[in-house]
Amino acid sequence: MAVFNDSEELKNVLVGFFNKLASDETIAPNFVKSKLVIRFNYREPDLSLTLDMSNGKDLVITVNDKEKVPEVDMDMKADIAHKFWLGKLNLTMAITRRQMVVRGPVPKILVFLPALKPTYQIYKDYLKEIGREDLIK
Amino acid sequence: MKGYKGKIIHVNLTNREVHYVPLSEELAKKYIGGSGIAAKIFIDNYKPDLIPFSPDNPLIFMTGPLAGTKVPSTSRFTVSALSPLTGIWGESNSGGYFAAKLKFAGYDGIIVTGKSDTPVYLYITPDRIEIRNASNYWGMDTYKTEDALKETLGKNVEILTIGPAGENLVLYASIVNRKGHLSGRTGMGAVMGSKNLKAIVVEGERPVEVADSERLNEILKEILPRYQENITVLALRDSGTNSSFDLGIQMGDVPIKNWGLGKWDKAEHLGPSLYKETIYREIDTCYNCPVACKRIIEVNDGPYSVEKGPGPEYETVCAFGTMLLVDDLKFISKVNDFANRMGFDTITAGSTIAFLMDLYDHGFITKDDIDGVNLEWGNKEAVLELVTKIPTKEGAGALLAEGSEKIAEKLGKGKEFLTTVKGLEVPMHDPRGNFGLAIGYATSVRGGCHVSSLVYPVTAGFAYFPEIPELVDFGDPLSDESKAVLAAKANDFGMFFHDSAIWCILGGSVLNATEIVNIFNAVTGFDFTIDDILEKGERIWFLKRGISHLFGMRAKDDKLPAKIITPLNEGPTVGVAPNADKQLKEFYKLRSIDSETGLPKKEKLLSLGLTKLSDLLYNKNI
Repeated sequence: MAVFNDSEELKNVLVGFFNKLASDETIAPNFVKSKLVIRFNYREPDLSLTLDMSNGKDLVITVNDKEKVPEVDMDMKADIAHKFWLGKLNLTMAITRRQMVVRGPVPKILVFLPALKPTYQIYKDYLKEIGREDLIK
Repeated sequence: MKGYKGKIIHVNLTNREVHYVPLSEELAKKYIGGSGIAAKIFIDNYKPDLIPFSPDNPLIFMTGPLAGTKVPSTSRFTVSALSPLTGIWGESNSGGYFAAKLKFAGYDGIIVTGKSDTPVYLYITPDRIEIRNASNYWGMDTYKTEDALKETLGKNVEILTIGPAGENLVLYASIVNRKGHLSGRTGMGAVMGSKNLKAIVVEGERPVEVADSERLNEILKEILPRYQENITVLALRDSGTNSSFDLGIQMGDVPIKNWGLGKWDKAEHLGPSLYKETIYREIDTCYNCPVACKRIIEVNDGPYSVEKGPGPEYETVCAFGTMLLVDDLKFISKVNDFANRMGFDTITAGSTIAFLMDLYDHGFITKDDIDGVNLEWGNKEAVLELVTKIPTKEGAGALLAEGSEKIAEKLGKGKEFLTTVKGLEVPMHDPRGNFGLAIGYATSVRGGCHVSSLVYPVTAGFAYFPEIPELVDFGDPLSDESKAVLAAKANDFGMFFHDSAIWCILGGSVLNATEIVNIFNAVTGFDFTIDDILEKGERIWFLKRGISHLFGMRAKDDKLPAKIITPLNEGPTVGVAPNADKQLKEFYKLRSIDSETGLPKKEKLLSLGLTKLSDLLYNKNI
């Protein structure tokens, strides 16, 4: 059974999470200094989230945005995304086995990776905050 | 039979005789190449009283059938002998340019036995083999030796050389090609030094013939674009083997403070971004390898200046960085440069210093034991002072030159701080973040190692062989479930893929098992299936392990050191650790190995055609 029942539930959880990251004084600066525009293309359920950090100051989140041109595209099932933010996904293995397809400049992605380290705990804390402990397995 | 040259050189340095050993089709089909064939040569010439520095210890350099062909990432060689560091089967595997050149000279390998009275080097061409005087080069570091020999013999030669560490029998001395391509592990450079063999120089331009070039071209046309698309390859090209450092920190793969700490805030100073910003200058690569994971670095300023040259790999960044709580890439570059020049292995050297730091921290040794050095965690000057004494064995250098396990034996204490399996310090990948590594390390044929079986590449995720179910479905990374069956199959496939055919685990990671077999068949003209190569891999694994049994290795030596499987109090793997004993028990059963002795059942050996090994282990009259 999929972790998220529908796109609305997925949107509520992940947009809320990204908003939390955007307002975090420690995390946000490390994200925005990448100046990346990253699009997560989720399926089962379907949803597209774009993180625009191109101005180097703000992390702007848009849903199903067809206007912005992402520098990095990441396609995956929503379940895989959830596992990733829980810190339980082997990213290398997911990419090798094509559970996650990444398109974009590898050097910039490598530079961005360390910024993700503290986010796994924040995701767990956030799920608890919104009463979704059931999603932490 | 194509791919092979059909000829192995045997040089006896005692009587200065050279002859040729044919590499038959039967031998090739059964033992493939690399350390598979080397192990067969070793057992055929086995002497019960052999010791590592005995002239009779055969030092065997072997290529595989793909070396020198257009197949990417396969122009590699292995060097094998009884290891002076571990006392069991030793081998090391290296890229660079030597393997292709040896094939172009018309040879598949070189066996060196005996001991020269004076320093010599081998000069090998398609037409002649000469044993030449190397007195002028003895004492030179590997960089100067490479330059001096090329100055004399021309730029068109390839050279393997030892440095002062090998000459002085440092037990983990390495063999170096082109300054940055090292056969580092298990002390093969010391065996070379014990024979007074300073270098091997090879020259030749004869191409390697392949059986079905049309078929090979078809396959290559399909796979070559992947080297421009595969994320792992692109990351390696961008940031070298250290590209995985940040992910490793996040997943608990990187050992910190001699495996005693789960997180360290300063680790970020060792990642790929800073590497690129501070020390990186250029990309470098091995013969015909589009991955290009090697780094050229330079440090112009400060106390740790380094001339432009080969940079530290991931393993060295960890062994002299996180392991010692040193967060300075320029310092690590300095140590790496020194180790390359002097010719010794940075994994064993760094781990040995980390072990001594733990002993010092816990009061097991004092300054008096280590030349007055204050060996506190993170003390770079102390590390540098000790490291510089290793190749000459000056003062405490004599102690360090033995590796950590022998130091513990000499001191009669501190074994709880060791990170060795079968005497070999484990590499920089933590089984507490990846439980399969526990059984991978325990059953690696040369001691703690992450490349001879494919447990690490498969569980780390960059290699994927969907045709072999055991290498796909191996359960949760933090559970012991399915790890024994994974290790058995990973050993079998690894013995073929990495040790014998000889693919680089990084460059070969873009391939699946079917493609690997198809390429191998197109080059050699054989008609192997995946099952065939697994069967051959199994035979080679039992043979190498069996050789170590002949030198006393038993089940107790399969145990992992407590230090690397004690749960950590912090970090991404807090509170968890593999149950290595449980994994081993299952593994022994799968492999028909006696759990008390660790020895294979006689019937198992006979079923694999390992009759001589069976006789040696079970018929004491031989």
